Amino acid sequence: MTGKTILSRLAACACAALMLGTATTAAAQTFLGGGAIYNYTQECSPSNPSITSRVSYGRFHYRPGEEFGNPSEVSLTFTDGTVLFRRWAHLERSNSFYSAIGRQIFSASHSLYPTNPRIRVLRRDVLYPVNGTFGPDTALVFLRLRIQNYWGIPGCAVTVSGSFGRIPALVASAPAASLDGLSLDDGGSGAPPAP
Amino acid sequence: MTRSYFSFATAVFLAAGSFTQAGAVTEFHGGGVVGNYSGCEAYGYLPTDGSALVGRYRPGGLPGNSPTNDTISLSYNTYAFHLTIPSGWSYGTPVQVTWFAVVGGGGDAWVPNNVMTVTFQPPPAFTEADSADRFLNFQIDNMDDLAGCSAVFSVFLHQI
Repeated sequence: MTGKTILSRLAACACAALMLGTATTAAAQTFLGGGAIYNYTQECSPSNPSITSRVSYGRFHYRPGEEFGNPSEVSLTFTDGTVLFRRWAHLERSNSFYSAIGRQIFSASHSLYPTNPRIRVLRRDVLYPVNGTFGPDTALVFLRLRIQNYWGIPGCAVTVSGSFGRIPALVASAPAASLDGLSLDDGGSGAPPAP
Repeated sequence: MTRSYFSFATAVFLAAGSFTQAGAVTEFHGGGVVGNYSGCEAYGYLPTDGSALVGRYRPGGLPGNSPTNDTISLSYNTYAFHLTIPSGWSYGTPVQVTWFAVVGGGGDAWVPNNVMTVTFQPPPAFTEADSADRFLNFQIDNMDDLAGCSAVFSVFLHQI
């Protein structure tokens, strides 16, 4: 390997890093999606005979800890509120439930869950690239979670299934500068500026 | 223009109300994501754009539903659209949208001027195991009846 090759590789690396840096400042990447919440247990609402057949749906958000640093987060946004789950670990498929932190904001109610939720990742399947493993090139991923103590109610459990896409999408041909351009979706973000 | 928009919105609202009262349809509710826009820059969608969405799916031929048509409704932050396609589509084969409506953003309902197609890709095997689930992964060409614009959708729904 010649010095020239190494230099050109270094230059390529620096260029890639600069582009990544620009992209990150322009718009932080995350996974946005949605799906359904179902298989509620009777404990979720003991006096409601139809709770076990309830199906809720919403827009979801997934922040994988292995890519952006812990914690991992999943939030579920409904028309009347939002639930957030946070865990200082990766949301990898598991046969066990793990303790997490839950918070929720609904009309006339906001709370840190008095009883910690416990989460089991039933599935985390990369949909695109096809046959890919989860990583920085993952564009589309399916998550299925079983969450105990949902709503902060002991014994209440639900299944959450959803499809999540990386936003902004990884598009090789798109210059990083285009992320600064006018986008119809800019108004969808409500996060405060980074410190 | 404004007037027709409001009257259409009212019609959709009333129709939705009557469907709810009937209560006999077979319907799946859920959500997902749209992205991978291609050829849509002139309409304001960049290739890097994407949106979370909620959706509703009523497959044809199931109790209470149209015997011959599937209907799909997808709602974003800023607008919603609804489309009808013939049931009996197969994976990988484009199926033509026969009716289309946009609500919000000065929307209307119409038969697409362009050949607007939906092409479903097979879902991962695990989602076929539960008949109460529907996992729709599809591309729409001439999306929103916008010539040359396509986008990819991934929507997971559960039967209500």
